[in-house]
Amino acid sequence: MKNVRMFFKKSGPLRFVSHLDMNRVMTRLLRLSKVPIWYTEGFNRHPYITFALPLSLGFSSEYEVMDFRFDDENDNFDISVAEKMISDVCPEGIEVIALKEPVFKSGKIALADFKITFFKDSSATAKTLEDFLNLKEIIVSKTTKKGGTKEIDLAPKIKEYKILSDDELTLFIKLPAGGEDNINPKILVDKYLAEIGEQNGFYTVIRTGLYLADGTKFE
Amino acid sequence: MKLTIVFGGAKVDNKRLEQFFLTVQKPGRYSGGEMGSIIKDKSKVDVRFAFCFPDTYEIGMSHLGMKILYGLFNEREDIWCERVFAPWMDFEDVMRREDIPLFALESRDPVSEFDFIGFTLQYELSYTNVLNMLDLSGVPLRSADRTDLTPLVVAGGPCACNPEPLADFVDIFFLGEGEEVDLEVIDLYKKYKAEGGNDKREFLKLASQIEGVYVPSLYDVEYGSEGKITKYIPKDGAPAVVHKRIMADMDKSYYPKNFVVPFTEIVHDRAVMEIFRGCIRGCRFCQAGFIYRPVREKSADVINAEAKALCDSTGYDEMSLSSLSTSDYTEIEPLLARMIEWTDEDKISLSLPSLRIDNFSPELLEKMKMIRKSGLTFAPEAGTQRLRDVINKNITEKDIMKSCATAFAGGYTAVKLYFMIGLPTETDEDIIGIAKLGQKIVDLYYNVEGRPKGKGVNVSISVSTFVPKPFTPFQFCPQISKDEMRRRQQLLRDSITTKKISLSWHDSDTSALEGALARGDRRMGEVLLNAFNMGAKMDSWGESFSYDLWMNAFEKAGLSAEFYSNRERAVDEINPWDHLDYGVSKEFLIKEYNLAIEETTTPNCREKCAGCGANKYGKGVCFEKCKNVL
Repeated sequence: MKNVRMFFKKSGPLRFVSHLDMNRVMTRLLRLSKVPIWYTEGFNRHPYITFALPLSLGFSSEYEVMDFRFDDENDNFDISVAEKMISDVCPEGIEVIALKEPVFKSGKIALADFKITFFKDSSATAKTLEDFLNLKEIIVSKTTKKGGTKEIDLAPKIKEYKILSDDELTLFIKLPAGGEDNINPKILVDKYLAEIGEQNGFYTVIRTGLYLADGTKFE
Repeated sequence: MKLTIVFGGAKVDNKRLEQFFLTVQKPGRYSGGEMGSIIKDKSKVDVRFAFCFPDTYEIGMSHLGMKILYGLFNEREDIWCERVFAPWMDFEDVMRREDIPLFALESRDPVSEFDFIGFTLQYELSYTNVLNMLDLSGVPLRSADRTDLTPLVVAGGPCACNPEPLADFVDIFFLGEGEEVDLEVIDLYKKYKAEGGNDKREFLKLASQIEGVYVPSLYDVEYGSEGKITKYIPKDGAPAVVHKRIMADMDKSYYPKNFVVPFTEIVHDRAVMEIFRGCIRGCRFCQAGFIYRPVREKSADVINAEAKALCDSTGYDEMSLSSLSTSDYTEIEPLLARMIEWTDEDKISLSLPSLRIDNFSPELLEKMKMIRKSGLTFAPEAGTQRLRDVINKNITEKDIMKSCATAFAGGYTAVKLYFMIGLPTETDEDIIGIAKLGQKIVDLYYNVEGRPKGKGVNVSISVSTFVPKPFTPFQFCPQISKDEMRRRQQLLRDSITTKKISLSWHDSDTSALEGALARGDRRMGEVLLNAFNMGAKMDSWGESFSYDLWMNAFEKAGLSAEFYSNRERAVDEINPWDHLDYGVSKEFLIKEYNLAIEETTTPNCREKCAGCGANKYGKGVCFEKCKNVL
C-alpha cells in the first residue's frame, strides 16, 4: 500500500462540518470517487484516512491535509488520475488542491497561518487591534484536555501578524499549531473583542497554511 | 450558498445568518448545501413546496417518505421542493431574538413565501412542532385566518388517518400514499393560478374532488350531549367519505436514485431500500399493519437494481432493507443472495431491521452472518400466549425459543425483546409472563451447545405502553390510566430477579398524551393551541415534555384527556375518522375486536384472506396465488 496525501480547501457548507463528521464525509467522497483506497482489515472494514490537523468548527481552510492509502494491488495507481477522480465528485465546499506523496510526518506541524476578517459593523479597528496584539501579557483561560481550565499568556505565542484595513478589517496571524502547542485564534480574537467591549462581534476565520517549526511549508 | 437573501425586517444576510449558526449546537443541521440537495432557479419554477418535517434535522433526514417525495417532486422542472426541519430550542431562541423567519434549507428563503407548506405527520407528539413551525414562519396558525390562497398548508403521513386534531390548522390533508395525489393537487393549483384563480375557498372546493384529498373546513361536525360526535356534514360538494390513495404497482412506483446525504450525523445515516408496503400479519394493536393495506411487494430485480444505483450515487457503505416485516418478503433469500454479491465486493454492510421470529431460518441467519452482525431483536409484544392470541401476534413461545436457540448457537449473546403493557384484557399474570419469558431465554442460553465460550447473556427487555390507534381493531378500547400504567410497571420491575435481564421503559406520560391525540376530534385543536401558547414543543423529547402543561391545556379548552383515551367506545359510536376510508372496513375491525376478546387469532393475509376490504384496490397480496409461507 502506498501513502497518498491530499491537499484541499474547505469552505461554504463544509464550514459547519465538525472534525468527527469530516471523517465520514471524506470516506464517502473517496468511495464515490472509486479511487482504489486501502481498507482496514478486520470485522468493521473502513477506508484508512487520517487528517494532519483538525480544523475548528466554523473555520474555513485553504490548506487541509488528509492522508489515505492505495490498496495493495494498486500501489502504482496514477496519482494524477486519482486527483481527477476525487475532484470530479467533490461537493460545493471541498476543492482538491493536489494529491502528492507525503513529505513530512503530520506530527511535524508546529505553526499555522490564519486570516481573520471582522464584520463591517464590528467596532474593531486596526489601532485597537494592534495595541492589543502588542500587549506584554495577554492572559486567557484555556480548557485543558482533562476538562479543567488553566491560565495562559498568549503574548509570547504570537509569532507574527499583519493588519490590513481597507473595506474590511483583516488580521493575518501565525500561531503555534499541532501536538506540542496549539492556539486556537478564536480565544485570542474573543479576548480582544471582550477588551473593546463588543458583545456579539462577528468575524470569519480561514486557516491559510501549515508549517514546520522552522517555517518550512508542510507538504 | 450562492444565493443572498435579506430576511424581512431583520436584515440578516447569509453571512450573518451563518455566524448565528455557529452560536448554537450542531450548526450543520441549519446550513444546507449537502450532497444530493437540489438547487433550482426560483424564477424558473411554477410551484415552490416547503416539505416540513416537524422534528429535528437528525430525525427528519432519516425519514424515507421525505426522501421519496423530495426526489419525486424535484424530478419535475416546474416544481422546486425544499426541506425544512424544526429548529432545536437554542436556534429557535436566536431566530426569535434576531427576527429570522423559518427558512428552507436549499434556498434559505422564508417558508411563508412558498406556495405549499407541507407537513409529514409521523407521530402525534410532533403536532405542537407543526404549530411552532407555522408560527416561526410568521404564518397565521388557523386555516381560517389565512385568507390568501398561499401559502397552502397541507399534511400527509400516517397520522393523517385521524387528522381531526389538526383540522383547524391544515387546509388539505392527503390520505394514504402521496406520490400521485400530491402532484395532482399541485397540478390543480398550477392550473387554477394560470387561469387567474385566487380564491382559497374556491380552490379547496376543487381540490376536495380529487380522490385522497380531505379538506376539513368543508365538513361540519355535530356533537351530542355527552360530547360524542353525532354527525359529519360535508359541504360544498365535498365527498361524504374520503378514500385513501395507494401506489398499486410498486415496481413502477417512483424510487429516488439519489438521497440528500447529510454532512452531520443523523439517526439513520445509510442508504435505505424499500422492499414492500403493508404487512400481512394483522397484529391487532398495529396501525401500520392496517392503514398500509394491501401488502404490495417490489420485485427482487427492481430492488436489486435500485439498491445498487442508490449505493453508487450516495457513497454510503451501509444499506438497510425497509419494510414492516422484512422476513415476510416472499423472495428474501434469493434477494439477499444476489445483493450480497455486490455489497461484499463494494464493502457495503447490509442490515435487515424488522425481522420476525417465526420464519427466521438457519439459512437466513447464515446470510446475516456474512452481512455485518447487528443486534438480534424480537418483538413478542406480550408475555403470555393468551395475550399474544388476543393481539394476534401469531408467534408461540416455542418459536421464540427456537429462534433464540439458533441465534445463540450462531454466536449471538444479546437479545432484545420488545413488549407492551396495557394491552386489552391484560392481567397481572401477563405482566409476570414478560419476566418469565425473559428468564426462560436466559436459562436457554446456558443450555445451548455451541454458545460463545466464556460469555454471559444479556436479555434486554424494552417496554412501551399500549396506545389504541384509529383503524385498528383496538380503536374501541380504553387506554389504561396513568396510575395503572405505573402499577403494572412496578409489578414487572418486581418480577425480574436476575441482572442478566435489563429493563427499559418508554415514558408513560407521553403515551397517555399520545393516546388522547391519536383518537382526538377537532375540538382538540383548541387544546393544541393552548398547549402551544403555554410553550409546548418537541413533546417527543422527554426533556421538554410537561404532562401538567398539557392537562392545563385540556382544562382550559373544557375537555378531558380521559374522554379521548380512557373510555370504552361503543362499536356504533361515530369516531372522528369514520368518514375516512383506509381500505379496511369498520365491520372488519369490529369482527377482529370480537375475535380478540374471544382470544382467537386470525391467519395472515397469505394463509387466508380475512376479508378486511383492502382487496378493492385490485392489487397486492389479495391477488397473489395462495401459497403456504410457513
